[in-house]
Amino acid sequence: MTPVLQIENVTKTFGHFTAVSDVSLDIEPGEFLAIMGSSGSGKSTLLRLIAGLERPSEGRILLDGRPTENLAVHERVTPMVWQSLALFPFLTAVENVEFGLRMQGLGKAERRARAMTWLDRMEIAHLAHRSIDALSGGQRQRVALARALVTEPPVLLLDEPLSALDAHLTVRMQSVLTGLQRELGITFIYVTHNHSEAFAMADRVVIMRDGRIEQVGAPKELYLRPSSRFVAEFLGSNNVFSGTLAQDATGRRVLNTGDGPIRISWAGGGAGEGSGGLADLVVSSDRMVIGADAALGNRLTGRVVGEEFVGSGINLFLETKAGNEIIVQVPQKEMDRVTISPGDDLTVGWPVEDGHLIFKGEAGHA
Amino acid sequence: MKTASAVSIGGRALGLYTALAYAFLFAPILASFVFSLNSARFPTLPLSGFSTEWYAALWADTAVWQAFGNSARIAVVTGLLATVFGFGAAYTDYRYNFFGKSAYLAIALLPPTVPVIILGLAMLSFLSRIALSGQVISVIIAHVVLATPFAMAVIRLRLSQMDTALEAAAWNLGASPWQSLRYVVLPFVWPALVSALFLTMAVSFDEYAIAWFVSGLNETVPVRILSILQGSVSPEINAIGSIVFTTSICLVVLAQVIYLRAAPAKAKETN
Amino acid sequence: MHATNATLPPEERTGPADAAGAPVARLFRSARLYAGSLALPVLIWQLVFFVAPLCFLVAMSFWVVQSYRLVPGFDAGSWAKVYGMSVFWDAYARTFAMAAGAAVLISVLAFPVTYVLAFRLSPAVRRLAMLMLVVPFFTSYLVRAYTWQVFLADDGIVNAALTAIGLPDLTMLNTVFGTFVGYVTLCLPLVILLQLMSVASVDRTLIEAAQNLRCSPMRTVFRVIIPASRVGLTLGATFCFILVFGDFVSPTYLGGGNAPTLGILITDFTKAGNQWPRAAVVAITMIATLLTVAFLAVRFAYKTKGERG
Repeated sequence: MTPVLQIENVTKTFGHFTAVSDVSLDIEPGEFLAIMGSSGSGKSTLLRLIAGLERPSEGRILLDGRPTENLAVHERVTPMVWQSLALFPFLTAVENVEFGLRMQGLGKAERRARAMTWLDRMEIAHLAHRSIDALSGGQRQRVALARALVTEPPVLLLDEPLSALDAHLTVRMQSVLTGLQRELGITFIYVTHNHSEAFAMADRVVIMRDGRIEQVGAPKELYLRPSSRFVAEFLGSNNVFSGTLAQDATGRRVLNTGDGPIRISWAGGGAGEGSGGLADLVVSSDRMVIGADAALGNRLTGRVVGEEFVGSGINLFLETKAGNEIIVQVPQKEMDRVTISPGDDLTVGWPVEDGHLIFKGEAGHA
Repeated sequence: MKTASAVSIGGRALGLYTALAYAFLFAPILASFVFSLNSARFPTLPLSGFSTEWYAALWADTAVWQAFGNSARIAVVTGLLATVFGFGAAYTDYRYNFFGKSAYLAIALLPPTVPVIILGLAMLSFLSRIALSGQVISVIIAHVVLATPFAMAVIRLRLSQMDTALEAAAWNLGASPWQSLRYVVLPFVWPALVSALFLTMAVSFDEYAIAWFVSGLNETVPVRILSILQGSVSPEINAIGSIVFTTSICLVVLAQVIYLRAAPAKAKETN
Repeated sequence: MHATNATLPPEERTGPADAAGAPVARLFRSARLYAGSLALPVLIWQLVFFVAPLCFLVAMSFWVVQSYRLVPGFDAGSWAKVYGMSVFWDAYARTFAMAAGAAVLISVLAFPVTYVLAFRLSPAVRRLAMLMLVVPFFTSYLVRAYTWQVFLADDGIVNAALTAIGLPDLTMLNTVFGTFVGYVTLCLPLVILLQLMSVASVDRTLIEAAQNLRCSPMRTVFRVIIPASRVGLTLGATFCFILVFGDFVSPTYLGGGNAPTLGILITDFTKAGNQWPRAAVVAITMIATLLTVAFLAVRFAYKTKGERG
């Protein structure tokens, strides 16, 4: 199957600033792709390049196999849901939805009917004749979605559309979005800085850093096997230990860190992966367990420096003697069993096989 | 409390002073209305009797009728042209950045800072060279120069409230630049356009110096007033004055009300 | 042309040089047509009917008048003539002094009103108060000025009131006082509005901090509010200077026209004497003066703190 969108070696510079640097990516029909990165990573510029709002300085973008450089912005069918929503304030909800059809030259009756179908699908048909000012945030979101989808495009671009919503509305809209995408079978390209949004919805996630793609993969793959310390830390709630690969007295493979040797699960033997090589060990905070159970394989002790309440439990922050920070995700019901206060020493551990190793090469070359 | 009472006395004095300042600004306007309906030939206190004779005298004065006709035509055409030009300049300032932009803006905005008497002199000498002086169109040409900056200021203010993503959203939905101008930008700035139209009409309707130089025999209302003032003072002048005040106050108030009513429709919520 | 903001069709941002092929050139052409159609009409109009007439004024100052007809030439005679007239220099000194005086006086008169509008009124009342300043600003200055005759004449309203309470009459019409009444009528609304621009945006926490440090309200005004709103105060005074410097209505109809200002001189040279080149000399001298004053004022207004003496 031809990719719906092919990005070939695209670079975008603004004066001396390189916003997007040599990015190549194929996007399949029906895929829900999330592009993640912090601000300034080039994720929004990449989306604007796809929409034609920017022109590549180098490289090209193909839509349905056809080059796009000869098309003006308005000649492309890549509707976008904007961060500000950019709804037309002087039009009613249904007139906003009709806008794209009106530009295509459709007759009034037909475009009204199609717009109403979409408003109905978004469950806001009863608000069709309200002005935009009279709608709530979530309702506006639905109008913006309907406006972008009414022309039945092959691709929908979304630029942090949920960032202005309350937390509970965000979750509600996430399920609306995934439901829609599955029903329509079209490609969604979703730019966000929020990894829980990206991981909850996307089939594939692109992580960008300084205009380049750092890693592409399914959410689970990124989470379990980040390709770099940057990705591991960017996804948050990961513990990263840096050290040197070695073997202990009993011949088991370990990573020598400031806090002593940590056992690792490792089968390979590629270049730079022998003893003496540098590596990072990534352990997800939800794999960390409080206690000194010998079955855990790895144990570390740290001083409690802080705690953070998250929906279902608590993130405990520990600091080891060597200054490593450890995040431990503790479920609420476990918190009821133990009392922990800042300054206490606490031993935590994790199963050896839950650590993911990232090789960085020979010592001295890092 | 010594300080508290000092503050309140100071506050009252300030309030009184402010009221007096406003009274000063509106005194001539009120006086004009009052004495236009006063029967005495020389306006003074105490008032004599109520009379509409000065309005009747105006009604019979064909020169005044003609002047009102000229002024109205000039104001309408000036308002329309100045609003179109003002929109072009405001939109250019909003959308583009280019070499020489400050010179562009200076040329568009500077005319009101040049004394009208100098503009009048320059206009008359220049327009008579190209055979365009002494006509209604001469006044229109000059008034558009003077009024365009006011239109531009009003429209630019409205444009600054427009989410910059709005136009991009229109292109993204298949609107060509001209279509997005027609279907997005113009509807958004519409109240400012109407406001600018009324304001520039008021500027043209009240302008006396340039018109005095270039109008020739096609007198406008302020030029007619100037020629009446050259002769003996007649209370007729208060009647004309009252009509002029009423016209410009209506135009300016309408301009403001239309603009302010649209302003709360704040489009730029994010960014 | 380049974008001022991020949302511009890309074809308007980069030159055609970095794109290849005729179809792409089509995009650039249509983008330029669009931008040009909006930007150029006003530019052309103002160049032809604003800049060109002012330039023509300079040329005309070197022309000569022969038997009441204007003849092109290059003759500095008008310059020599005007600059040799003591009546010109008298008028120049008088006009400059009146404009400077009015700028200071009206700024002082305006400030308490600005203060009340900025700090003592609710936003709704302030909007109304501002509307009531915009209305007179755009309402026939000519009619407002001559109507003051009704108040200021020897047998006018003010003297009638004075007589009624047993006070002696005053001569106000055809005096400098009368002229200044006209100037206040002309400038007060604009000066208040320009002052308000800066005063209303003075950081409230600065004022509260000053009061918290036991600074009296009066000292807060002079030590905090006035220095912090220098831009608006200077602009107000400058516009007042510009308006008064070019005005001929108040000196003529309220000042009696016996002591000519530069504006009156221009009307005399043209309407009475047909001496166009001489009027042009006066006009150019006025513009040069105004440009100098405006330039100095802007430098003063935006001077950074470090440079302040």
